[in-house]
Amino acid sequence: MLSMKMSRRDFVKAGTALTLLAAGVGKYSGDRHFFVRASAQEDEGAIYVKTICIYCAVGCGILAKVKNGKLISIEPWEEHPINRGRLCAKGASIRFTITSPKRVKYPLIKENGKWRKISWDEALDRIAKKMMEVREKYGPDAVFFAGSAHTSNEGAYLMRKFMAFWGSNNIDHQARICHSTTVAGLGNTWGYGAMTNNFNDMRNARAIIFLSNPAEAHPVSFLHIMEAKRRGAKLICADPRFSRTAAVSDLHLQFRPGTDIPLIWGICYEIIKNGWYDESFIRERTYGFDMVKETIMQYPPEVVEDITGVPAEKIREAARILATNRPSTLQYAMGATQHECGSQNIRSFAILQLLLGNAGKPGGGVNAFRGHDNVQGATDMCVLSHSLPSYYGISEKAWRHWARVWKVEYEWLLSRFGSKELMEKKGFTMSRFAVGALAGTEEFPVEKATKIDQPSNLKIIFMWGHSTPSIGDTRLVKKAFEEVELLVVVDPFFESGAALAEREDGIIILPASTQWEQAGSVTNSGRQVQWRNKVIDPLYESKPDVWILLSLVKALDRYDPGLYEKFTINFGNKSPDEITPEEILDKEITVGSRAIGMIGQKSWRLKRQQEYDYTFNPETLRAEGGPCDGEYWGLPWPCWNERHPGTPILYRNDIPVWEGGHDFRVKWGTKAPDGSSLLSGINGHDQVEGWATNLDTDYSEWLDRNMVPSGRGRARMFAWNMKDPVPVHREPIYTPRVDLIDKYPTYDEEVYGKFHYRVPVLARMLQKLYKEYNIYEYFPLTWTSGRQVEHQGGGAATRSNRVLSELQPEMYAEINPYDANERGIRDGDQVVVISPRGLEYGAEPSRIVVKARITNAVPKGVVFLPFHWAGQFMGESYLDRFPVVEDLDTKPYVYGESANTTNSPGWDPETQMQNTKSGVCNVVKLGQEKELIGQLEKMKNIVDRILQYLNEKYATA
Amino acid sequence: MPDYIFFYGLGIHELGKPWGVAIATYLFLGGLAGGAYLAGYFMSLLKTKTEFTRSVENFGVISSGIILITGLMSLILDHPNVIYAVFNPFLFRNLYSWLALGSWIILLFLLFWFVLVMDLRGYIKIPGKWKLITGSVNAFFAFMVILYTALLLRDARFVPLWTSNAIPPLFIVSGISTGLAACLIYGILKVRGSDVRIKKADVSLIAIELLLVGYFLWDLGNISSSADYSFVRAGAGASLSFMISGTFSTMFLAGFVGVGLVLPLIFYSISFFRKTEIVEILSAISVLAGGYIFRVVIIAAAAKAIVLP
Amino acid sequence: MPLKFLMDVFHSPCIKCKGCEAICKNQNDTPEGVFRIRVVTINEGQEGQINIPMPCLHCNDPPCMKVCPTGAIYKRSEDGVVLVTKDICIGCGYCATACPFGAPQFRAKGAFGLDGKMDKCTFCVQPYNPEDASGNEIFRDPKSRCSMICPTGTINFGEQADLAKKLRERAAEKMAAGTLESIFIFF
Repeated sequence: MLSMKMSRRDFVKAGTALTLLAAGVGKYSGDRHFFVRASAQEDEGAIYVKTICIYCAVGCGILAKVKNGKLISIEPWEEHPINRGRLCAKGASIRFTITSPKRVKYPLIKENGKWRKISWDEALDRIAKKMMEVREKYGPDAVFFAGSAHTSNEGAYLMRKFMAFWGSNNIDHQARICHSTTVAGLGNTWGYGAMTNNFNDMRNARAIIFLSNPAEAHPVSFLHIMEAKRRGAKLICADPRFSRTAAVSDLHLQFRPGTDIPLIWGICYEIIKNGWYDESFIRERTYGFDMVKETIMQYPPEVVEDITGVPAEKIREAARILATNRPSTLQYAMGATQHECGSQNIRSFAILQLLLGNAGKPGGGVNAFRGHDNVQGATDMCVLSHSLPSYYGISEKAWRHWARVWKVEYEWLLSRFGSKELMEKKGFTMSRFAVGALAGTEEFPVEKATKIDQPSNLKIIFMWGHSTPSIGDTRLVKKAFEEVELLVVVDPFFESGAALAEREDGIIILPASTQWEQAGSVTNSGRQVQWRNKVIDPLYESKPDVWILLSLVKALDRYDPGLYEKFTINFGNKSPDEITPEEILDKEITVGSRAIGMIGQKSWRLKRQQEYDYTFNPETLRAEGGPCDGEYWGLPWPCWNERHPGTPILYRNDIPVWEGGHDFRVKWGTKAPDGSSLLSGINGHDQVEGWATNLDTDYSEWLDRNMVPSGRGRARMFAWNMKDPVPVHREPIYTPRVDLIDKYPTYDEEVYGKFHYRVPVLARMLQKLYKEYNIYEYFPLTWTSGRQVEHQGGGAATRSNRVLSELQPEMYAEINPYDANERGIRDGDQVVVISPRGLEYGAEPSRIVVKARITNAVPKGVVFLPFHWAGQFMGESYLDRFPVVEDLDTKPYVYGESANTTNSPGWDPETQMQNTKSGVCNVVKLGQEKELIGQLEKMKNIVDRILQYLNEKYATA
Repeated sequence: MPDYIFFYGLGIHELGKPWGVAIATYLFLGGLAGGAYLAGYFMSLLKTKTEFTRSVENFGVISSGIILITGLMSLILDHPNVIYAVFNPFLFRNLYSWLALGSWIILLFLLFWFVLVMDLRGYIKIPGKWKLITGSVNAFFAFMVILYTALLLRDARFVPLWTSNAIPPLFIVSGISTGLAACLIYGILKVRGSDVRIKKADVSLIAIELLLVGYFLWDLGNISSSADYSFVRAGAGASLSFMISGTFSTMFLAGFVGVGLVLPLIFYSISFFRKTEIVEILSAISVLAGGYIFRVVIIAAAAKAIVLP
Repeated sequence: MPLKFLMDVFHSPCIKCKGCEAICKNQNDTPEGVFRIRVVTINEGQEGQINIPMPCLHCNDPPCMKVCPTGAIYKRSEDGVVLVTKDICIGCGYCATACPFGAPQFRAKGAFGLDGKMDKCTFCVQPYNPEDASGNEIFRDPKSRCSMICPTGTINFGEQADLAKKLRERAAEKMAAGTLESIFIFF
């Protein structure tokens, strides 16, 4: 047999055929080519710059190869303790992002429908002039500042400081729609709202439960997760999709989007029922077990099976795996946070880990994987409308603390605001700022009747490194961009929002340089602060974020004398060119950020760690010998002073504080309302007097006595101050299981108060109308969104990268073959995804036109959409509105519809997190959507009902 | 878990680069050229010569080279890089490769062909004995040209379809058969008559071809069920299903077997009883069409499976 | 001392992050449409889904080398890297039909349709355009970037002896831990 002969000759099965080695007998040897190695000559004059990747929050190190001031290639940084040189598609192709020809090369202004190049001076002056004009006319609160998690800590910090000096709390950034519910959920349970352990520590876990898809969103974390698996860890993936994470997991819990809490409670039920919980841990270190137990016992696996769709047997199996393989860790990301019950989802995770006694242990904890390279840092710097840097809040006490750090008078700060009330009132958020611009305008009937809780509408919007596609309800955002008087976009790439807005003028684009063209510190998801070196000088006319911000203050100084001097008093009033990120970090950030213990992370320490990267043990992340001896990589906060090694694992109380020990924070007093103690049962003590506001202490007298400055308290399973003291299941507002709505209703409007972050929020009312008008009959499919491995965030950077664009050139909707066949949809067809979004404010149902991708990865009845895309809105391309000027072409290589045009309404009552993970929709072939829209005509009076409600509630406002 | 996946782009779903219709054309014209030369050569060996055989004899020899050059043009159109080779023939030095070997065979064939044509047109005069030797040597090269088109495919050892033992004889028989058919058409049009011997030869060749097709399918089935390695089985099975029931089944069954083999048999049988030129021409044309379709199917249905143990 | 790739194809830990595809483009500057390595997914969206990175495996007896009419493909004697002499490659595509792994790549379109020279993985020895500014042929150290950056350790690279040693070390580790049966989960 011929084929046998061929096989014998060419293929040898290696051993048990587990490995694939091209084999055979070497016979074509012979010196045919004389060659010399050219590498030496090639590398002459090239230097390698240690720097940090610009995409997700794993914080991978990369060596940038620079020759003659040009970025020519990258090499793996194999000594980097976190990623050991490993990279995913985004990091590996980073050169094509930095040097992309699609970058915005110089400041642009849109006038009379045309884009025009202007100088930096002119652009900044125009912005400053307009800002002052608006300030005179409407007050400082007419400005909304969308900051960025893609800048360094210094950039983010200056953004928050800038808005404080401007006199408004209307500042927010990606963390609001990313992990704000983590901060609320974990913070209210354990004390700090951040990933408890770190990526390297996951290799110590003996079981891991995923509630997101890190294989696609954080691929390099799999360096450690796979190591854990090699060491025998069991992986459980809870995901509505059969994702790539599910493919490598041992158990897949395929639940319905929006039912995280019952799923976790089902597992907890089994743990409690079988007595698998850690009794001594619960007794000594937690509060409120009995109250939680009462709720949990209402969710036996059979009930959970009905709600979530996960077979009860699998839930039992998951509980068994988690209970018998300790320590186990829990990982989650957007899939859990972006719900109207997001804070409660996260709390249920924390409670699960408390039951198992997995908190504060290597290989345990709750690992919240964050999205942007510095979103943890930007969150710590509180580019948020409800807090000052380091989570101080916006009470008078907080303002006074920061006024002291900034060396300005509290009274002067107060005078910058509209009033003391506005100074202490939470500002607009990323998820609802559009309402702030549209309230009272004619665009939509409901918006016209909407009142907001501030004197004037928004008139200027800054989009500083924030993408539009990730914000829910793109149509409302588009109208907001069209409504304001000035839209300022600061980004290395052209942010699609500026093209989305159909307006003739009033848009100014400032080219920020990419992260590799500016130095600064960045905090990764595991709270590890790393120094990102500047790789090359800013390309074209782009400028670093810190420079742009300082220059803007300087420009404002012309109309508002003395502002620049006050703003830079700690930096010696030097010019924007001369102020370095090191100064900002050392002289302000690490002086004032005491509540999270971000004190010891001085720039010289970060740089020293970078230099002696090889002394760090990749297992423990601790330096062994060398100048950094004893330090943990990245000095994860709390790092109490310049001699403290950092705290890699939060709440770990079995090691001394000097070695990185910690404990649950005493944040809500030492006694619970029911009188039981909130101090730890082991060696509990209250927080140290003045620990967060005393600028002079270095805490050593407390650390020497093994006391944690934030106290040694208990984790609260029962959080009496939250809207739900114990998490309970609440159906998404628009849910396919209408039969469960009455049993598990969403929040009442009263829970949100009259105004929630300055806007009215509807919840239960929408759910009732949804049921009453049978909206679910027209939208039988569940809508969910997620990530593609090749793109990140809004995709402006990755879609301008020729390699990533080639690897993933299209937006699609993943549809189960059953649903597709029912609708006559073939793979690759153009389909319309319609959702009821917009019905609630009197608009047509929103829709997007995408390509169908038919796959079994999504279960029956679920539609999955990646959200990175822009360039097309409700079926119409707006690429022609992207600036094409002279040598500048900012159109991305690939474009598509933004999935979030069609997300469903729903906002978390704690943080106003938007709901972009569970909604309803329908999919029809392109051209058949008219029919469906026609059928919805009869729902017109939904709007009347809402208007009636609004008019009654806000009659006096 | 299926243990194989297929490579696209080799003509499984579409005829595209790297190997597609142009290659199929080239293979067909190569076979046709060799066949036409052999037909002419055998005519010249016949003892009893008629006007028909004489005209066909010259046509076969002269056309063969032209057809081959046309085939090469088609190849160059598809792969312009071949032009490099035309200017640098000594690049073709890996004589393990049938592509290189075939190039030299074609070159030699064309050289001899040129000499023979010069002689036929009367520009030069070859002595009688040497003429026969030259013609015979070139007949060997003509045969090799046909064989080369088959062995060229066979070098791709990971396409089970092409490694079937039936492919080389099929190509040879098909090549000669199409060559005869081409000669027949020319003869009929030129002298308004035909030679029953040619028809008989073609009919017997077609009959052999039908048997070979049977053997070919049996062989493929054999590979697809009993080859050692799953990827070989998978590739052979896929090719087989492409030809029998899949995408290219119409092409293969109706086109090649039907139009190319069965139909000419019927036409020829009719022409033995009733002398109608049109039927003879039709049968010859269908042989040509069938031959072409056969080459296209062989390229298109080639399924190569990735090796996964 | 031939250099080899080693990949687990039964229980591939690969998560298809495509880092290998991207770093290859970065390192070797291959144009659009040319992938020296590609990750292939089998059983997408179902139980048993596995991803397999497919580079050139640098066979000991390369079928592509045998069929290349011009001898442009050669196997370097000192370390067994299969390379292409682009000067004499005529882009016939014959190697693509011979290779069972789909390693030979051809650029879809070029000027006058002429740019069809074969490109393949070279263990990062030669970039797509193997000539530097002064016209010398570039030969870098064989150090495959895809294996260096692979987050899950699916792609391994090294001398055959080293890879064998690695397998032994894994097995020994499992033996020491008393979990030899789990060797079949990861090599």
